[in-house]
Amino acid sequence: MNEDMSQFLSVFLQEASEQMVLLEQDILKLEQEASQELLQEIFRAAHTLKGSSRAMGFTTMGELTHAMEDVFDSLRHGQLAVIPALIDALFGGLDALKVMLEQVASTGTTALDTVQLTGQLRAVLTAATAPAPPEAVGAVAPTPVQQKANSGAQPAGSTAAPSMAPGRSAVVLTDAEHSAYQDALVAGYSIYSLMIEVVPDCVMKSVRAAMVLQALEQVGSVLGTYPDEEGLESEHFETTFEVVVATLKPSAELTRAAHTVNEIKSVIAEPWYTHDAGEPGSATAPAADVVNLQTIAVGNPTKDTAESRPALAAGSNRPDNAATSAEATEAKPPASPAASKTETRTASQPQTVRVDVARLDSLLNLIGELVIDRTRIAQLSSQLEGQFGLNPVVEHLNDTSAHVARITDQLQDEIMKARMLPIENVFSRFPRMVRDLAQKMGKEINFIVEGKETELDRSVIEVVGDPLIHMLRNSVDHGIEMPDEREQSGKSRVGNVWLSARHQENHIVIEVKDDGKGIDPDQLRASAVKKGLMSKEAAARLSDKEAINLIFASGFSTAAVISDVSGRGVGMDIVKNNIQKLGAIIDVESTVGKGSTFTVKLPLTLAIIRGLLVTVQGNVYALPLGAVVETLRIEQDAVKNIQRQPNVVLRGKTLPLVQISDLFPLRQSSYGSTRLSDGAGGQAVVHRRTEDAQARHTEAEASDGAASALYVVVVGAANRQVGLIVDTLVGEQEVVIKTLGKFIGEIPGLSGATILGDGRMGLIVDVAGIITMAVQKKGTAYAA
Amino acid sequence: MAAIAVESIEREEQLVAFHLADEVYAIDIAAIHEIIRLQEITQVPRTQDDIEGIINLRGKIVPIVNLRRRLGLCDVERTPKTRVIVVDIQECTVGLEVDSVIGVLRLPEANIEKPTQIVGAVDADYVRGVGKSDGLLVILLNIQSMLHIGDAQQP
Repeated sequence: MNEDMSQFLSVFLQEASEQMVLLEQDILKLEQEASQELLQEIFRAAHTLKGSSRAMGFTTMGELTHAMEDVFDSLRHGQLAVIPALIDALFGGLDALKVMLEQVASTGTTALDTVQLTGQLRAVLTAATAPAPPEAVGAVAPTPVQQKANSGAQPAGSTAAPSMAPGRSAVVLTDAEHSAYQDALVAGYSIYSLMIEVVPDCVMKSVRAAMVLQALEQVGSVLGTYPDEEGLESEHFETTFEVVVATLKPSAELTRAAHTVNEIKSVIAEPWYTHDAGEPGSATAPAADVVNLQTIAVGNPTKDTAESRPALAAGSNRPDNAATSAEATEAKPPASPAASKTETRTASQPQTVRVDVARLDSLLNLIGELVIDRTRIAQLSSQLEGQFGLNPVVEHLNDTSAHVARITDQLQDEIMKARMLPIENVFSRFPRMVRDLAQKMGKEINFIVEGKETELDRSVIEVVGDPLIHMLRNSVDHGIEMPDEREQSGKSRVGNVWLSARHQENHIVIEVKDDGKGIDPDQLRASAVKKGLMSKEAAARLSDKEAINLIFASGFSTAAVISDVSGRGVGMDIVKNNIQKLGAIIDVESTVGKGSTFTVKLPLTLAIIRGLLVTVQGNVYALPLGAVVETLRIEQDAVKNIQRQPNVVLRGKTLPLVQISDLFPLRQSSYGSTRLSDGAGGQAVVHRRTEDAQARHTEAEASDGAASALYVVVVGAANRQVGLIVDTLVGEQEVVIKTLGKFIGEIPGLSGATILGDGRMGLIVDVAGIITMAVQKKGTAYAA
Repeated sequence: MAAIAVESIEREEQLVAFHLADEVYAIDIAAIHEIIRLQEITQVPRTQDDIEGIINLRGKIVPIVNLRRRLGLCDVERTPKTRVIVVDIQECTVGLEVDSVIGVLRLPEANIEKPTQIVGAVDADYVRGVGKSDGLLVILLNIQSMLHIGDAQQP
């Protein structure tokens, strides 16, 4: 690869993977219905992919996409019928492309052998298009953009496959190419026109042409070709094509480079000039120029200019084509201004800006700090009000502080929205997965996706994919029955799996639903006993709902045969763990014979949470509100010890109690680590907040009335509830989650820290973790 | 020999010296981010004894290591002179609590000796040299070996 190209690599990688996602979705849709519109879209995606991979010099990728593109082209013209074998071949090609793209991403090059795949695709094509000679297909078929560009103008097809007289240049330059040409002249480059003839029986002329272009790039920069790049790709020439190259080397170098490619019969190099004035292309290009690129047709002075090639001028207007060549020229020594690239792009792209994720993250961090300061200002102004009463200055401060608060809220909202992505980003890979799974297992499944436009924060998007994969696999593998089995139980042969996402209050609810056989609680009970997870009696005591929840226990798989689909019985366990980590809740409902529904309730973001602040031994802890069930104030003597563990009976159910201070013991160091000795931190003392004063007051009250009341926060995660005994309840607050940092690392039971309104720090409790810790502590006596 | 000695005299190290339990220690000035007064520390449970907790350094969460405890020296009361030396190690910002900061110290390399087996009560792994300055013994600490990323949790 040209070294200058490396700067485009990341752009290429991103665009290519986007095109691949699009292709995958579209090929899936293709299986359902092959509309002309869809085929056009597919063709365009494949074409863009081909163009860009070739421009980057990844010829294997280019060849494979080319083969796929040919298939799409035939489909588009109704010469091919959509059959499963065809879809499989296309998916095979797409998978290979993905592998290659990964190789490119990690090593900068790709070495995958695609001959077999390409052959496969070609075989599909030849088999289906046997009556019509394949060449004719390529030659007559106008490309989609040409069609669009020429609507109302002359048909593009009429000039297809023109024969060229050697020695007469026909190259037309676009704006960008033209400015590159002028830059090259200024920089002292010589411009040559190369007439290149391929051997008459050359099988893949387009590939040869692409290889020639690549070879020429090594010794100079290609300014333009005739036919244009697209024409070369679709083999719009008989045996001869022309390339205009700017180089500092003698023309013999160019000829030699072109000859390095196989199946090249002859290469004739001649100096090439252009009218500096630049004839306006509007005179010759058809009215279809509304495609919004001004084409300046610049011809060779020795011959007539563009009159004979109107279609060509329009053809070169293809936005992505122009952009690609602009990119290519930009990378070369006689660089055309970057502006030309932007110009050619704007029209075809929506008004969006790509922003680095890191930048968005840092913006969110800054706003997090603003949120902290906002709270602090509000506190200060209410303190001032308390101290000085409502004098005008304080009133102004109050107003301003209220305004700042509003603005900060809006700002936070906006930036959160900017970080939002439609859940489609995750969902898009599932249809393919479900299809493949179903096919592998011989099941017939209709996969329905709803609400893929639902937006959520990218922090959630990143982590929600894995659990969903397992849930879907579970539904396909264990939920949906084999077609015959379904028929016997009076259902249609085709099973349904639904995946839906929707907003519900401050949460995203994702549902995975199937109309399969459902989960049989008795079977689960029996299985749990058999696996030694619990005694027969314990299993019998479980309610049906509890029994169904056994599928989340680790080491549990109910499928009689362990398939390579939902694996070794770890699937749903992973699901539960991952979902808990997100502070989300998973629920399952199932009716035997009717099907099951898994519901996941996710927070909108993982960066800011609403927390219930509590104090324990002077430390402030934030309990994620999503996990808080209720808060209680219970009398000390309501606490009963069962098996030496404190419990309280709440509405007929026993609730185990846990002292946070037992799970999170603090050092009683000689100088109480949260309180400072006099003089050491005068500032910190000022920071004392009113709540703290109240807290101390309450503490004092509590100790006065010896053994009176306990504050208990009931938290729940994964269908388990625990009452946490805390010293005081401070209140609800939005907190920005910060990590404790690499130096401290992960502390069990804590998910991070946050800076409170008064500048102090709070620790954020990982509720699922703390419940696990509480369970592990079982058997250890608590001082109740 | 003589030539080498001359060269070493010309080179000197810039250090920040501080007090810990009546002895003078120093760390390389290049690693130091800033020196701050002690501010309110929030204890983090389930961390090792020498992790005092975390502070809010202008919106950034910075862990504080009690250097006395890390070096195995006995605790003392905090005083108005207690300082936190904020250092950057391997992309992490860590605060080191010390008794008091003396200031910048320029020490010719010739005055620095390799550590002997036992340097006072301090683990020899943490010491990269012992220097002499105005008749004062300065223990040069190796903060890289002293502070390991991610070993702050309780075992």
